Amino acid sequence: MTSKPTAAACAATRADLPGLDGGELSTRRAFELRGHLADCADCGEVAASYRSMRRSIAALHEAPVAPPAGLLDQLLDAAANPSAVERAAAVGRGAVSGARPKVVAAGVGVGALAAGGLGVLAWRLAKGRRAAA
Amino acid sequence: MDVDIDIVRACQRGEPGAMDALIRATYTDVYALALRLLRDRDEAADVTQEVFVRVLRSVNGFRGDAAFGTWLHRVTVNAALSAMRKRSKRPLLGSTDGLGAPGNAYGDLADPTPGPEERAERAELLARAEAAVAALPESARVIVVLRDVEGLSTAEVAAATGLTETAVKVRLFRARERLRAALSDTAVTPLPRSRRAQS
Repeated sequence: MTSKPTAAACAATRADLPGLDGGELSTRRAFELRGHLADCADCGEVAASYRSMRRSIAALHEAPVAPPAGLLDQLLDAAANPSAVERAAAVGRGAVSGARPKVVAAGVGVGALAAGGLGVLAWRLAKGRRAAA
Repeated sequence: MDVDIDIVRACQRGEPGAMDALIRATYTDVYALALRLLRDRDEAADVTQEVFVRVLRSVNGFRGDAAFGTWLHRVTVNAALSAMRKRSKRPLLGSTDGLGAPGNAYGDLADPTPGPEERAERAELLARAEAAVAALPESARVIVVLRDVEGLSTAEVAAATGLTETAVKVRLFRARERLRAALSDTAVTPLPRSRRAQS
């Protein structure tokens, strides 16, 4: 004869039930949960509702999806003209994120400063050499 | 995503029409996966185009160490997650914002099962499931889609999202609790009074 599960055991079981059928629990913990479910109709009901939910969610994978009209033609056109796609992708990346123009501007700015700094340094070195001579 | 390796090999040999055949065979799956993750038709179409740009670039280098379908799936997930990051302009998985009112992003839920009643029942089931997933915060939805809809392992989800496996499990458990509540007629099965008294 099995003893009635305690409320604490039920609470602990329900906390882990979301992982029972997904393989997220250890083998030992899953075994403990199944033992509890064999004795506890209430938790068994909750476990059944998790299984039902999992089936419903997994079914979304099979839900038919209709791609927008014209997408296939665009993809086929792109495949026929890959160089245009590369150009469009490069432009698109900048246009969408806005990151590229900023990066380019920052790079130009840093480059100009660095070039200016190097010029001043070279001028001072040359001046120093002239003075030493 | 099931892809005939002969088509991939034909693409690598540059056979006429091979790339068209590859696109025709896979673009619906790519689009569907992107849509499940992004929940936006235009963005899903953009991601689909981006994925096939990558395919065009990379198909010759594909060595067949893994199934091409697995590789294509991974490319699509990465492209969709990248689009999500750009869209939100915030860390992908740090958000707790909901997505607002769920809609039917899947369009017509045509179904191959016979009989109008079964078809209607299945369509309703899918619509409820889709609405429940859509109502999750984005950070949870991504994990549910990858783990429970796409069937990736916890480790694969962690790798794709940059989270630890423990973090993935925690978010997954919470999301499943919410989904169960949303899809159950009775959100919570209460503990019996007699047992509550024992605690």
